Amino acid sequence: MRVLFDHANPFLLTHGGFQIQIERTMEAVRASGVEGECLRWWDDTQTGDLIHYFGRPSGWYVRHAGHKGLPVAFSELLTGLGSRRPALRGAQRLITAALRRLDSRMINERFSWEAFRLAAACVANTGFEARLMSEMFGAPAERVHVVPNGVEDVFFDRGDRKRGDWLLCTATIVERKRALELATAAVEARTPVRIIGKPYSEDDPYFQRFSGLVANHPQFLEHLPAIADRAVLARHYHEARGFVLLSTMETRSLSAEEAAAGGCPLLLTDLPWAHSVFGDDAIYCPLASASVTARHLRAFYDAAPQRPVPKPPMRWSEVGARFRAIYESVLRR
Amino acid sequence: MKVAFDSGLPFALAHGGFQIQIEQTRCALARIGVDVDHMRWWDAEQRPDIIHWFGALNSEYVRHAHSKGIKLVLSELRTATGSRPAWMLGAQRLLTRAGRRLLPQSIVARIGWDIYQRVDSATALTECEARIMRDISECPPERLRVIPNGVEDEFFDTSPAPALDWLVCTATIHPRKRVLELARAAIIAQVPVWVIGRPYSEDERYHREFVEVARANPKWVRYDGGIDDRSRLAELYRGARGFVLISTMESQSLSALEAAASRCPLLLTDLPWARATFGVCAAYCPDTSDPAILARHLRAFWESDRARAQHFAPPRWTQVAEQLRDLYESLASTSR
Repeated sequence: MRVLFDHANPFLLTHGGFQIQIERTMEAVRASGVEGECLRWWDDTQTGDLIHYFGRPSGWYVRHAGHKGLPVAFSELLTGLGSRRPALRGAQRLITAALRRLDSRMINERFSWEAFRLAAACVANTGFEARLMSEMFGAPAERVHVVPNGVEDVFFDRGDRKRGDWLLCTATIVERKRALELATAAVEARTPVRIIGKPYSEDDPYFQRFSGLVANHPQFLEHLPAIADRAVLARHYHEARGFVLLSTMETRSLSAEEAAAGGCPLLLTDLPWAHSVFGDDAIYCPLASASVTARHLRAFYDAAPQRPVPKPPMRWSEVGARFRAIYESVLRR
Repeated sequence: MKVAFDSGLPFALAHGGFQIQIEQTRCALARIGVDVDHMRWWDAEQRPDIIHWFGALNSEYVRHAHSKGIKLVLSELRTATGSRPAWMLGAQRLLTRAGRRLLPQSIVARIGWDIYQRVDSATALTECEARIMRDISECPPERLRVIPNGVEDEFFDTSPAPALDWLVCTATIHPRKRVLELARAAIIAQVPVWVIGRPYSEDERYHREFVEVARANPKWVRYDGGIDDRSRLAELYRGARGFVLISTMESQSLSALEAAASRCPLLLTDLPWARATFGVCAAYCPDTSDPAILARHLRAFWESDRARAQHFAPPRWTQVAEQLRDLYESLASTSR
């Protein structure tokens, strides 16, 4: 069985959780015994049995792949949609249903809703997003699968490391992750926070404001650029007092799961994805002003040493086996 | 200056003119010394100065490219839009302009209505596509260039070829190209037509129906699949009595340009792209699927005096590449 992996956004342009998720998924699938290679868009001689697309392919793409005998499975993140309030999602559902009934070619092409109906498999990261795929976009329930992110083995092995005094946040420095708001709250709450991550661009005004704040408050804030060495990153999780992620939206944060693998207490924004993944294993903070956030941060800081250890997430080897099973079921049809 | 080509339409899924356009453009650019590569989505180490995107593009891509200091050139085929009647284009222009001003920015970006204001440059194949990009998509005129398709050198060969008492149609076997309708018209008109091309899938009903019609009428319809040998195809165009393409829509048909370079008379659907490209150098038939009407025009074209037809000389790919190199150089020398 040969799987062709495809994705619309070059890694050169965007880094972040989805890139790591794609790279690790490809490795895990190959480790499970499936032959996998990246789809070269310019190579008309490339062959395979199935395409695994990361993102949402167009209806054109799925139909033409079908003509060539290539079923398409796609892994889609419904980050924005999944983070909206239920009332907004309800309104969006009504609008989407009305627009789908119009069957406009332009709308179909731009929103690619057809993909959910035409693809051989739609893969969601959480049960919550799987439900959204069916409810919002009409994906047939029997073709929707849930495969969580995996975590590398190195994050599970904490040994006898002692936890320090710093809370840890690992995230791209971008508005959506609210690293600046976290830093502001940390200063107000007088809780030390170490933030690991890089911006998409160092010229980004948001990043510059964040850097300025960090430079002015070294006793509470530390910023480290992204850490490529996974063992070093794992050590940061293992030695942190707790992990904080106050982003406005997520599908399923890889860094939160890496933190959970090492038994690190979690403080997360109160969003459906977080409840769906961690349930009572995390503490939640509303999307609110700096002073409200500061109160939650301080409370978490004080409570973290007594918090129970979160349940361990899945390992990538298990994720690879799950995808293999999905590919096999698609090819059996 | 490093240029990377990118597209969301894998060649392994669909063949056709767009693939040839991209491949020939890349080869010609390489021949004149431009460092041009393909974007490999999995390779975070690639470092192009300019990305040349072929197809429909999304705003996120442009935003991220700009944040990395990479310029973006967009070459999108506006095939369907360009084939619409003027009143529909007018309505589309009003709707798009109103939508762009009234809808939330996130929706505008999702629909792709802001793309032409965001990219560093856009290219159109014909003046009528350029007009669509300016009027409907509101592309700033100073960022827009008309760069037509080119033709490979083989098609300019003037050596004599065996005369062929067939009209030739080179096209993908697909409803959009109306080859089945052409075959039916050929039978009614009793004009022999040789159709050269492949379907996207041999299982498609349209293809099967076309093959049945061709098999049942070998005197009027010849179909042996596609021809990969470009020199052989050029020789057929040189010897053929004429070239026919009665498709419902095109951006700028490569096969029509190749036939024109081989001095083969042309019969094309009367659409803006064809008038903009060939003007009086082609014969036109109405945009219809009615075999009886098509048959009348086919017969008239077959009987016309082809020696009196004016010839149209399309550009070679090297000339196209030179225009693109100028564009890339002007972008590389300016800051955003």
